[in-house]
Amino acid sequence: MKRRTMISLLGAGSASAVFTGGWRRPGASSRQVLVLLELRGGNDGLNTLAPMGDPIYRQARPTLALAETLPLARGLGLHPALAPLLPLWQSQRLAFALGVGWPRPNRSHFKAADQWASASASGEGPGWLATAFDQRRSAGPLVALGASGCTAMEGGKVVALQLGPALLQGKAASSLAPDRAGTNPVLRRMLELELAGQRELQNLRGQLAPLPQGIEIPMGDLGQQVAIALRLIASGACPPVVQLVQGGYDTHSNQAYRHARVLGELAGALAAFDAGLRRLRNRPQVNLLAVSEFGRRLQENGSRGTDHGAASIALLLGDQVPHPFIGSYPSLSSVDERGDLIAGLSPPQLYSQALKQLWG
Amino acid sequence: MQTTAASCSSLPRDQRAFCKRRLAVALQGRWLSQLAWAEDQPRVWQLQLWLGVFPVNWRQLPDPALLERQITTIGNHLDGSYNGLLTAMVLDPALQLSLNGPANHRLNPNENLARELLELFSLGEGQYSENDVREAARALSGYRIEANQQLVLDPRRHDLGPKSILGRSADFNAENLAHWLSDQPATARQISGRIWRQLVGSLPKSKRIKAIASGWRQQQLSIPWLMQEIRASPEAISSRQQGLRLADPIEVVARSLRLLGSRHPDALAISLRGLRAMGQSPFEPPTVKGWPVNEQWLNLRSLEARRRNIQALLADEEVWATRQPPPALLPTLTPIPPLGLSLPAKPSRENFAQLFADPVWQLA
Repeated sequence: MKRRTMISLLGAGSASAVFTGGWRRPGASSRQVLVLLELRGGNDGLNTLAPMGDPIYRQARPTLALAETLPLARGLGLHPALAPLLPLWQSQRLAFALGVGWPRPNRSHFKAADQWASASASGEGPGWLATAFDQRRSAGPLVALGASGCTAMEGGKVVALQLGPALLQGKAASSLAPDRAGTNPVLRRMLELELAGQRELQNLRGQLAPLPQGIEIPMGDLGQQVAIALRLIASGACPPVVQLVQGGYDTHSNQAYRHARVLGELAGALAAFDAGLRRLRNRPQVNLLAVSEFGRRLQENGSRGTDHGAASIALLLGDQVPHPFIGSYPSLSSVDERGDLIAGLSPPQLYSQALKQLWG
Repeated sequence: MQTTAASCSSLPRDQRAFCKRRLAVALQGRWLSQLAWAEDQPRVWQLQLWLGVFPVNWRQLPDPALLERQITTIGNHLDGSYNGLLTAMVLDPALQLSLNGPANHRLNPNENLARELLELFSLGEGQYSENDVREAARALSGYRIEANQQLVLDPRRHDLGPKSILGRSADFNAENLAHWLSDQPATARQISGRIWRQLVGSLPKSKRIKAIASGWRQQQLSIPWLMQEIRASPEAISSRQQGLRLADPIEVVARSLRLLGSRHPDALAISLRGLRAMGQSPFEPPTVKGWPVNEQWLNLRSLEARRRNIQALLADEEVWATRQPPPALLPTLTPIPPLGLSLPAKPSRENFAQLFADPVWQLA
């Protein structure tokens, strides 16, 4: 959820700066594409990539500790629901960032989501992608495929679009000039958004390629988003950043079932995404970064679930991933004063690596 | 209406979800028609406002009818104090269930309700410590929902003994914790700010909110006083006159429905489908923070969905055939003149379409 106020939203640059369609050469394709996947709710890193060798893990989680996992390396085992990702791991197209998180998180979803979105511990300011693109004066658009948009892309001058199945089919309406709004800031922003968005959407719609043949897109929301992402990447005019969203990670209760279900959906969708990428010729380099607002408590709670915790893992998939790991797995014995895992890798570090790949 | 709980949970497991969804959709329809047609419009919109402060998603409940109880409970406190409302909400089965309250056992604490109580319903972020959250969770432990859907405190599950919260040590439970939190200046500031955001749009300087909050405390957190104080403020008046606040989707939909005047069931069904696309289905808040407010709705996705979906009301022949529009579309319909249509205008289908497509129609 955004918490930015009117002032920061409307004060970000002069209004005319929104109309920077000229930054982007028509038909120019990004040679590098970053796919940001938000796993919403706080993914339990401990049960995604489990420290199977550590007895503390089992003690802390009498009902939730995984009995069987898919061993990777360093005594870490992958949740069985992620089995479809094993071939990617073996071909070194999958990596994990370990011990990722903010120092002293306050365990609030909103605070954490704001921190991740803004890449700052205060959680304030425009989205980190918007900031990075504005600073570089780099061409957008930034495209969110998740139904509720992407805060990391918003608040800057670069055009941030949300692209869903409905928008892909709809025909463009005509827009009004933002000057018609006079001094009404909300109205002006509405008109600006619509005008800038319509130009970019027309552009994207015109370029969209069919899905690569012979791949099976899994049912569900994430599968739908993966399909659109592949069509964008195949288009020859892929936006530099595409965001995907999967929800369902806030597993306060009945975690064993719920976590396996969302991870299974995740693995199916990512395997399809990778299969699609492999079938595309002349495509840009693609790297996906999957993050979540925080991990969960080491100790399970009384509802066969886990409460909000601290450090977790991030998943990296694609053409240039730091296989097998970056960072190190947090110790289960030296935890912070609340009993939470201590992060060794900060989100801005992950981001700067992602941007480095994007811009070489 | 209240008897539906038994009927859903007595069904075989595989039919329960369908049964629950059917009840929820019916409830959404009833609530939207209240918002569009209820005679006492200010009251029903005030209920909607507080449902955004204490948001519960029907999917989190075994029985959507619990939401009707929550609405009744909120309604019972609208003429009272925030202390009374907060206490009632902390003890409300729907809110309790949505934040895992009944899972909070003295031996196995679940902090979800405690944390959101401090962060969203009272003090606000940064105004409490992690220790306060832990201790508040102890105070809130041991409540469970009985088969008749009543909330009871089970002494065997409740953590007895003193808890230290915000510098005071006492034998806290849900009730006296809510009182203690209502006493805090930070609570008055946080809630005044949240209500201001909903009614006026953008937040003023913190000094302004502080002044309102301190006046509100002198009025024993009277809810009618706070509503009146904010609504009558110069900022609120100019916001209304100049259309400075972006209306919530549900306001736009209810207003469109009312103007069109069709009571055909299609009109309600189309509106509910539209609200889903716009991101504001009744009783489906996206998070425990409620729905976005004002400029937080400003993104292309949401704007496109708004326009497309209120136009759908006009596209339905039966809705159009059963319309009961006013004799003319008057200039008083919008805070400032629409950009693409001059009022007054005949209530023709084209003029309705123009008005509903106009960005100004989205302003409160």
